[in-house]
Amino acid sequence: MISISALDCFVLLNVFGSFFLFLLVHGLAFRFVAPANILKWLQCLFLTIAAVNVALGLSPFFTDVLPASKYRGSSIFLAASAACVIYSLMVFIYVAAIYAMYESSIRIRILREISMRTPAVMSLSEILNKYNARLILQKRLARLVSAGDLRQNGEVYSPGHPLSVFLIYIEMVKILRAIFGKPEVCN
Amino acid sequence: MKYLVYSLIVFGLTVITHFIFRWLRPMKKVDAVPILAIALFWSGVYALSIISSNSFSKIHATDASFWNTPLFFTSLLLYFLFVTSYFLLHIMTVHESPSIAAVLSIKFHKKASSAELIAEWPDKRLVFPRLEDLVTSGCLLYADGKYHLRPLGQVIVRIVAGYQQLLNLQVGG
Repeated sequence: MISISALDCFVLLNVFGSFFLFLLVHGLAFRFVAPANILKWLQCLFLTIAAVNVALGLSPFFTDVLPASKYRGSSIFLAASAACVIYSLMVFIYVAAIYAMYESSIRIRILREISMRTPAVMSLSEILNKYNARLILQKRLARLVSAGDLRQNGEVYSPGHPLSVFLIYIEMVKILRAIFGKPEVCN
Repeated sequence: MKYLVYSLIVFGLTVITHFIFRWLRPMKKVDAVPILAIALFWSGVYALSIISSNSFSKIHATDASFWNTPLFFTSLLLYFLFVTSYFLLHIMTVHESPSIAAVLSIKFHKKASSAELIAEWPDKRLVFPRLEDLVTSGCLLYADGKYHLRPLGQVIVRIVAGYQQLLNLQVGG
């Protein structure tokens, strides 16, 4: 008979609660965030709720939320660590698969530009007048500068913080590219 | 702890299987079917091995040691999230991202001007391949020197517009 343990239940409630809180704040507060500042605030929101997640995960040490006699301190610490990793993965999947697809997908922007026309037809030059490489890069550079991943001095950009969520992600991509090879075409 | 270790071992096996598959069939594009097949195969092995082993029935026993920490469902969720994240990361590895490329280029050269970056990333590198991809995938139709939005493209635009309205977002891209 498969049943769920109290510790399992506690971890799942913690991670789904944290993730729901992330989505709620993201949905409500990001209405007022300028596009250039989105990456910075996304990192801040992720880290703030991760702190809440860790505090909740370690709360059995200070409260009676779980029967203290049933679980060892090391087990509670393990459960809190697992909850933090799971919350981080949930946010990563949401941001990478849904939010980033909307916020930075060039293909979707092209489709939207064409759909705004009646009839929904555009020539290449009309598309490039509305949306082109210069606009694409400027928007991304502004986002990266705002998040601190790059520094801007006039028209010149230099590396920003040596450690950020985005740079950690880039390092992971570099490792996979070293294994699978670099992309041949820009998709 | 043993369930978490088990999750990590099965995740490691999933990644190794994918590495071997890519080594046998090198390709520059993401092939969704084998990725899904590998993930489903190892998910099945994972679920069956856990359910069939009698160790599961012992997790609520009085042995509350660190090794026997009862985190079966947490481990299961962790495995699925690791696999999903790995494959998402793999998709992003295969698809070139202008943001990643800009950061890597600036890190490599120590600094770069916006003019240099724009010269490195012209329309033919950023926009043209994506337009071709939209035509190939059936979202656009190229006829009479113009791009026509097809029903699949309209569906995608509607979904994206719904998400935009829900979060009151500005136009992305």
